[in-house]
Amino acid sequence: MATTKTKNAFGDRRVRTRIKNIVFYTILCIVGIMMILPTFVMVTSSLKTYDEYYSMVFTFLPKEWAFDNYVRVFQENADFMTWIGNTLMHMVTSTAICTISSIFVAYGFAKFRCKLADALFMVLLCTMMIPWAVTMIPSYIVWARLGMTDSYWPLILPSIGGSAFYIFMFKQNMRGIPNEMIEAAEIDGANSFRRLWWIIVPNCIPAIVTMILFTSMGIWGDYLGPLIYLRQPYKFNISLGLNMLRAQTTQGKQDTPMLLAASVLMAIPSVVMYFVGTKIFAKGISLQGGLKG
Amino acid sequence: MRRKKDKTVLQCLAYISPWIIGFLCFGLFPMGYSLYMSFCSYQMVGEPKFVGFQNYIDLFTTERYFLKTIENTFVFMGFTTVFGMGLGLGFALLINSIPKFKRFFQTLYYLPAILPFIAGTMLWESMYAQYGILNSVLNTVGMERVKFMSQDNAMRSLILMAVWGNIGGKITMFLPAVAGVPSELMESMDLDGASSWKKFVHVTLPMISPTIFYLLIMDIIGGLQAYGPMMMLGGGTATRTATLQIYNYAMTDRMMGYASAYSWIVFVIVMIVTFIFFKFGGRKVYYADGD
Amino acid sequence: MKLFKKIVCITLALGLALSIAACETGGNGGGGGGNDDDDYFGGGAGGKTVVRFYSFNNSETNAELKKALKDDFYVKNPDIYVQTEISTGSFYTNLLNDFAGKVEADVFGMEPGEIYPFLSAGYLEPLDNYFAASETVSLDDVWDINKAAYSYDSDTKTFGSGKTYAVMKDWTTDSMLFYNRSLFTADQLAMIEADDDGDGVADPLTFAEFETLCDQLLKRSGSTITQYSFLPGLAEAKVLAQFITNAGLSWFDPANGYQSTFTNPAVKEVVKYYYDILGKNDVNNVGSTFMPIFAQGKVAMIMGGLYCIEAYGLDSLDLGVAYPPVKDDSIECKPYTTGCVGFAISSRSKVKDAAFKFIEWYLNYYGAIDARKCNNFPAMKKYANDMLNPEVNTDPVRLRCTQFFHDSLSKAVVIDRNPYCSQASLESVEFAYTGEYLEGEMSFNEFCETLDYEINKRVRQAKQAE
Repeated sequence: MATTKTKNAFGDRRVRTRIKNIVFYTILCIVGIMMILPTFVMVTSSLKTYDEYYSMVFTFLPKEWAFDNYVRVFQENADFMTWIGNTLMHMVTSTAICTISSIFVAYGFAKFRCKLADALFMVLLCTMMIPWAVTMIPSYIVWARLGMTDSYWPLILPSIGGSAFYIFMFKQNMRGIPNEMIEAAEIDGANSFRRLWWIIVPNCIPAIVTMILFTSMGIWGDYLGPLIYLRQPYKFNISLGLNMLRAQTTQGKQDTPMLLAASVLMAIPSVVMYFVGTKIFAKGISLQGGLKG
Repeated sequence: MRRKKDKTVLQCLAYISPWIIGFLCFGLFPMGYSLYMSFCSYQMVGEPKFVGFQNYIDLFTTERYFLKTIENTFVFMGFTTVFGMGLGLGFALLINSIPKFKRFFQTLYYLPAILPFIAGTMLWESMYAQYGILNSVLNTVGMERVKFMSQDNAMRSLILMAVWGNIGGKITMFLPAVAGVPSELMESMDLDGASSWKKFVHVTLPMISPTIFYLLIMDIIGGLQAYGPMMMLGGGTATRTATLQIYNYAMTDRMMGYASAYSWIVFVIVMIVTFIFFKFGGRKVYYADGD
Repeated sequence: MKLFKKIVCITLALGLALSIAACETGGNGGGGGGNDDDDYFGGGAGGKTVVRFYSFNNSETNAELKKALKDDFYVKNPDIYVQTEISTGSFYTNLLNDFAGKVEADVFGMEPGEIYPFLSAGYLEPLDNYFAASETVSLDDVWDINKAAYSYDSDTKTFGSGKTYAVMKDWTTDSMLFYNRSLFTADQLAMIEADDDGDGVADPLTFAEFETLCDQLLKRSGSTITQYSFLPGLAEAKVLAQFITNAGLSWFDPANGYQSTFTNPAVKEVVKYYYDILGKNDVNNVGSTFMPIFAQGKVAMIMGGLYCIEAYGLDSLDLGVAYPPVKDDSIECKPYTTGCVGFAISSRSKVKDAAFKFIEWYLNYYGAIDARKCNNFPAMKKYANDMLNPEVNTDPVRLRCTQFFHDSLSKAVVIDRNPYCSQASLESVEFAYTGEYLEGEMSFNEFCETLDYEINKRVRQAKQAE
């Protein structure tokens, strides 16, 4: 009985799957085009000459390809490489500290249940709700009194506390790991740290990679934080630098194509990071074998 | 037995300690200071002057646009959350079902979110402008120009921009969750002859409910504090959210005490909303480790 | 497991390499070296006195300043180093934050409309003694307007007398009316250039005449405007304040606790008049690039200052300059200077003498340069005279305009300032609601009432904090 059913169903299913796939692909493509269109326009506009962009006649592709916009970004702005360097430094240090810290903290919350931890977790959630504007001014004053403004310290040090966002996410993730695995390791004599490092973390790789990805990209494009603390142009990160360029107007007009070129340049590393990340990420899924691994 | 319990508490605290330190220094102290400031009047000169509840009274009685900003905040949060989560989950399911090019589509949809804040806002600024890109497209087709940032349209325009940027992130978060649904469960449902919809509701949804819950809470909290798009694109009273108002009061007008009081009210509102969601939704979430 | 380890190791190694590389190329925070070749970091290290200078410069002008320092200032003052700092955010809020945190710069930019909080907190160092002791500059060399802008008597709480807390670096009247003569008919030119009182200078237009010109000079093709009759040029709120002053009124009432006057019928009349003209010129939809459009010859009249000629290339037009309109002939025209941007020294600075040397040098050095470029009028009168010299100021259009501006300086007044509501606050309030009003989302009365409410809110808050 079952075999017959499967046989008939098998034939039908192939066709059905085919149709399903075509429909899905079409929807994804159409919406995908809508999603990509603004970015596409940004890239093409960055390759237009100054006059063509401001001519108020909208063209999909530039008539004259102005590749020199990209070259000019570096030529006309001596600090551009410096900004990139600054942003990289900020990104790597903050992400590393924040990720490691978040893993530890999430582990504490996820696998050691006690009333105190539950209470503290509620506090953690509350901290996510503080409007950023509230802590902005007091923080600035404190850093100023310590004499550490106009530097990256106010931006990097707070990552010691991890990120409430990701602590929450890791906790959810770690709770999803069946206890039997951990208890098995405990019986084998692993202490809490080993349990964390060798059992839990490998099973959370997709989440961890996601965090590293998102956090890095967030810092790459971070604007509001550096805006408050950084003053000297050579210390700026990319967002601040770009904003400074944007605010500079010659003859009242912005050189928008060049600005867009700079924006595209700024966006490329993010895209690369994302691609690399999802590759690791895809591998990570296969590691989620659980008890079989 | 007792020893083990003590040891557990100690270990717990040890692991949580980085966060505790961070929280005390960069969270609790500034918060306390700003709470103190909300009871003071301070214009960035001299010392804060204690005025008791005056700021709060002023906010509730004389602040004309107070309710409007709260309303704007909830509207923005509501729509971006619903559309973001709904579309995000929908597309994640779609992408998960197709045999090839998964990563391609995932990246394609995530590209908008990769754009740095400034680049994105500059882009949408030029899209929505009176003589901007969208209007010139409408013009070419022969339609009337639309004022995207008028009082009626501004909120919708901002929501569109926000959802456009948000979806990618949601899809990225949903995909592993959806992919992680154990295939045995799906197959057993298939054998039972269950329809796709039933499979979705009874297997997929519960399995990904931790992710949904997490994203929902994050979205609500984030949405209630949104001010970036409004700040850069404008929109006047129709889009002024609470946090934007707080930012303006603090940075331009230097009314620190007043702005602090405002932000504490917003904080309380956010806390209440989140608490409701936690209580209501927390019970519905299913955890694999059986908690 | 092995694969996982590998990935982790590679990532960490990459990260380490990247951050080392970044530290190399990029400036590190909080103490690392800057990458300007002859700059070095470190207060006082190497024996030099470090003067921190916080200005509105953008990176271009800042680079020019650094070069000028190297070429000239360090030669004359080898024991002083000027650390230039700029800000892309809200300058005065940052400055006040710095003061609150006790890390303010030694010398910083200052404007008449923003000076109140600093004065009331005693943050500024009086400069009179330094000027008296100086050999190359004296306060008498500087225009009188500096007194109106920056001399403050803390007992009577009035400007114009008392100690001098800041010194301007240059100025111009910046709400003068530029007009494109080639767009005017003969009759219209006669109106704007009429000199009924025979003093050799064209009289200001009356509000009525100005309105007539605006209506006549506005040209449309269908629903699009092909020629604008008037655009603000400066911040709209500043221009509005100019019109209100030229109607003999003020946007706030000192006798009534400095509260706003936007519900006063006479003031409302001016507001309506001004916004009607703006509305007809579709100001909401022009964007923010008024001057360049004027430079393209599409605007008949625009408000601006002397520096606009150089900055926007206005000398390619058949340019005329006139005084801003007055309500009627009985009212005296008081063109604003919203400028008088200058320097102040922190009262807590430890290097005040060196800071003043910098200011002294700046006034002399840039005084000479500005005169040659015929930009704004330098702070020191002797350099300004150069600008009226046909041999220095060779372009006849520019020369004529410079002469006109020069004459207007004697009538100039500092922009109306409210001690409890800064210029920036006024502009942000105005900016927040003008769009809605001009689009018809708000009635006129609602608009005035909202402006009144918002301003009074700020006044009340500021008073509360005293």
